[in-house]
Amino acid sequence: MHHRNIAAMLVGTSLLASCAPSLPGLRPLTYATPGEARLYVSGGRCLHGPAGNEAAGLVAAALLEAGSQALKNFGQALKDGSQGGALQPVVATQNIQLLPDTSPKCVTLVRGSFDDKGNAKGSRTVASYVDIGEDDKDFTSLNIPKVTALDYYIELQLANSTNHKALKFNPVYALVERSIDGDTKGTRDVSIALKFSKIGASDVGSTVVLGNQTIGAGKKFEPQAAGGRYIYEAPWFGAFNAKANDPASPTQTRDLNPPTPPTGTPPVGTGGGAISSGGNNGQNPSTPVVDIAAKGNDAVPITVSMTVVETRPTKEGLAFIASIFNGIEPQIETAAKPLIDSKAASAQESSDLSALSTFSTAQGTAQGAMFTYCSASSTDDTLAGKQDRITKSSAARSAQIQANVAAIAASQPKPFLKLVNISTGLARTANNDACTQF
Amino acid sequence: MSEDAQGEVGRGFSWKGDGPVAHPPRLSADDRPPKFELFSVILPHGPNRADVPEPTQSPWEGIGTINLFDHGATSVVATGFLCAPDVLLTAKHVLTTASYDAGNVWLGFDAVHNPGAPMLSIAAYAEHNSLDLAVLILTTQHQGVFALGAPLPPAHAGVTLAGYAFPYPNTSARLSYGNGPLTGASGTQLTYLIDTEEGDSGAPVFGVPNGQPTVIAVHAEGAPKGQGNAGVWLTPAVVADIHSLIAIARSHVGH
Repeated sequence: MHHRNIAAMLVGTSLLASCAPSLPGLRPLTYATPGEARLYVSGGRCLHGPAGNEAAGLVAAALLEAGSQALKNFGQALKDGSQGGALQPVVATQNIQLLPDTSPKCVTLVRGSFDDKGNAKGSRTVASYVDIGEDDKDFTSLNIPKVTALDYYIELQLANSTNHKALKFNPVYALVERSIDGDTKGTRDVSIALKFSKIGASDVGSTVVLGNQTIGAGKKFEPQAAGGRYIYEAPWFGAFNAKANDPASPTQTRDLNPPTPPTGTPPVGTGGGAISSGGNNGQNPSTPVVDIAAKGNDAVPITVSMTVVETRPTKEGLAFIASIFNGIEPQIETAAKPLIDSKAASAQESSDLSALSTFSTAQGTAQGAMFTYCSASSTDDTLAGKQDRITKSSAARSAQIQANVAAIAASQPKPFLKLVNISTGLARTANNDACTQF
Repeated sequence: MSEDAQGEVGRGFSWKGDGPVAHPPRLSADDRPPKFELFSVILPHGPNRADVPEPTQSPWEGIGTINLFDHGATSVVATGFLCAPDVLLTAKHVLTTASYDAGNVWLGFDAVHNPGAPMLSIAAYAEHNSLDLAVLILTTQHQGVFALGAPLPPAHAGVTLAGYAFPYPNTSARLSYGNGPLTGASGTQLTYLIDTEEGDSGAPVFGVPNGQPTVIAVHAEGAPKGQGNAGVWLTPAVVADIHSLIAIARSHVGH
């Protein structure tokens, strides 16, 4: 029934959002209980993830930065709602480093009063609140401290579309142990935004609303029998960590229509021809767990943020929720356009190529500046000579940094790991390492 | 084909004097094997499984990791094992869970103990119509073939499962194993108290009676807590089906 209320509100979204920008019916900030929110990003499946087949599907998607309208709406709705001091968002972030084409598989938010030393009177493990064994190795691997009080525990599971062109997330477990205004009874609607930020790129992410959460009652969300979908799922959004030069189509595809088995073969199964080899360019095999602290030149720094807003099931609260989804549909259409429209897909590819082009230009400029500094700066031990070396070392360093930033935006490895030090010294002396190739 | 299969698995096989167990016993706590530090069992998130120190030796050399790729990104990680010198047996859902455009196998790979295991190519495949089984025909032949199907072991004997679900802390690939008792058998499903996770699909559940590594189930799914994880029980009829699958897959080599 409650879902119907939300749906009904969606119809009149723009009216409500425009009439009540500050949502004065919501509780004021001063009612917020003290607490801290922490985010735990995992490369393995969620603790409350569904049991089932154990082929590890990894999360990767090939579309760049599309479909974040829900995220923008969330931000605007929160801004509108906060104008009257009515909304207290819970925000938590974590920095991770990922190899291109990989994504974390689970993000868990815990809000409460943490007991980092673990010896406070009355402190408990978070596991004890959420139906997880305290010695569960997946739980202990998250290193969540004990808490003296727990407010929220929310697990979001990430998954990609079967064509690997978009991502979504869905809650697999949520507990509002205590509301933000201190209630331990009643119900709340919980709006969640998950955002991925990468240097030099637009934020991407999406939102989901959990309606009618009973305070104090943890809820596990199971996939529906038909199709494996969840009741609560965030709208699709584009990948945040795809290779910029991903091919538009695979080099070879799986044989989806294998030849009919030879006559006389028992009707046990069906078969097909060869599966193309070398999909990972001959590297070592992957594992079911994504490395969220990847090292090396390819690793891309990403910040994960989760924002949770709790509202009462009042018309003002529903207006807040409605305003999140206002106008999403046509925007999703826009985001999905590259998936179905060849012209739009070309535009997407053009955008990717543009980033690569910018990177190539910046890299060439930096190499020129490096050559000028390393091989053509003055060797005179005079004031003019020193000024020349400062000017050229400074120009080289700046160009290196610009090339590295362009590389990140194009999802390419950073070309300059050793930056030139700005110096009056001779280039080959002051910056011997950086000048080796010049 | 079914008769051949039954004859093959029946030859010289017994669990040290214990005859076939038509209905596996339900195990009480007292029947369970003693807990070992490395692989005491708490399902489904028990203590870590044990390292395989020598993946190039029997029976581990015949167990491999399967990677499927989509546009160069890994889309599925799973396990399989040799049931013929050029045939890998695994779970069908490994091939149906996600889209892919390429795939490879590494037999006995372990990032610490055998990082040089070569990448192998897949010449053809076949999927069972109803059971969670599939075979992959490799382009090359290898040692480490497991026999298929056997009478269930007695309660005290336990079984072993080895696969690629639990990577090293740096997330590199690790072949690990766990031991535990069977908890039930019904139809074509066998359940066991061995810790498993994503990436173990297709792993062999096996024993080594009379020195011959012999698989009694192909791991397929994790179960809700306390109920035991589950695989496809390799009854004589199922083994016969596997031989049929191999024939179907071979007929597609070169297509």
